[in-house]
Amino acid sequence: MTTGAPGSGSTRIDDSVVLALFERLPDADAKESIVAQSQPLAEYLARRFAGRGEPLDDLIQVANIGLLGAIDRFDPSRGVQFSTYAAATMVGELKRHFRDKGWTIRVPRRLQELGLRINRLLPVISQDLGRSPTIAELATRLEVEEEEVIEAMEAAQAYSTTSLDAPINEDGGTAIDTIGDVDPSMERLDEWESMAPAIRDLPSRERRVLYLRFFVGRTQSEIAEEIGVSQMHVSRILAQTLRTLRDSLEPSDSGRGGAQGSP
Amino acid sequence: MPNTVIVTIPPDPALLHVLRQLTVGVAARLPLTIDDVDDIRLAVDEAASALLTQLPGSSAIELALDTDDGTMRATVSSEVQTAEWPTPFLLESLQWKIITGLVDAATAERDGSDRPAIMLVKHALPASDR
Repeated sequence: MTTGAPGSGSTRIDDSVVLALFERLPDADAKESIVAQSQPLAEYLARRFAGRGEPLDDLIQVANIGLLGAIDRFDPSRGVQFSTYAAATMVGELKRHFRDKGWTIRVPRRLQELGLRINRLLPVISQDLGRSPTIAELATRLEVEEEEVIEAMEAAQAYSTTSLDAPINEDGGTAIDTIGDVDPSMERLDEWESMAPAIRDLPSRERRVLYLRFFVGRTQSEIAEEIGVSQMHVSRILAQTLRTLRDSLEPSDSGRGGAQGSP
Repeated sequence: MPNTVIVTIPPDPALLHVLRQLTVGVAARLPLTIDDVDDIRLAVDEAASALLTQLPGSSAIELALDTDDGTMRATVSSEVQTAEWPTPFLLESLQWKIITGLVDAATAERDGSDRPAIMLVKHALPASDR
């Protein structure tokens, strides 16, 4: 069991701790402590925007700019949790970063709406069929072209920037709520972890999806049901997680010379 | 290869999405569940990326998709000179475990043109389940 490793902890912010720190502002130490408390969340959010050609370190910097703004503007008397406010501000800052660079991460409304319809319909059809539907079956049920379903699936992939505070299930739970504790049976990940230490640094939900897909052999739809998100959401988590791992395995500056050296 | 769709991209990771999109487009022709379609898409992405990282100096990556007899077959090949394929490193890698975990069968061999390749197979739904 290696779950005690640094970085494998929760991405939650302890709002009561942070609230006490806000009372000590403008004390510089208190501000620094709030920043420190929020680092796992900042890194988690930055990672969600990784794989778009921007170094992760830069994205963490961007998230931190958002974080500092959030600390300056946060008003504890308004009854909003700091974690909620900070996450929204950091995501906003990250999105703006990409927008400023002229990169489109906006998905056309038509596809967003189709994506939502697919998300709503999937559990229903899956239950009827006893398996997840084919693209053709989905298109028939939605009365759209297969091509549109494919487009919506692709768009859902690109749109991996959904706010962490957007409700993802009926009872109003948010993505942050579902980042639960690490499953004890994840020990079998050890072998993978020895190959890719980055697995240890994955947020626990990402580890869980990886585990369920590759060790338990669940389908994406089954995982979706188990962790209470949509199939498309699982698809995104999986794609993003694999990308993170892949990036972590690629020869870095230190490894490059050695890996390709001998003529 | 009458039913084969082939695309070639420069060896640029930024273009892997073209392979992903094509894979989904072709996979939609088969009775594959969207879970399966998504798995094969991820597998193609990983395979192309594995070829790029394991065999530096590639001049092109080719994806050939074949849907004969209700089975999705994806062959990802790299235009590169190499004596050894598959590399022992590939078969021991995490990426290979991921690839084999996503599809019904994965092999690393040379394709018909003697290029290093990764072949992926995903079976469509059995007729009884359609």
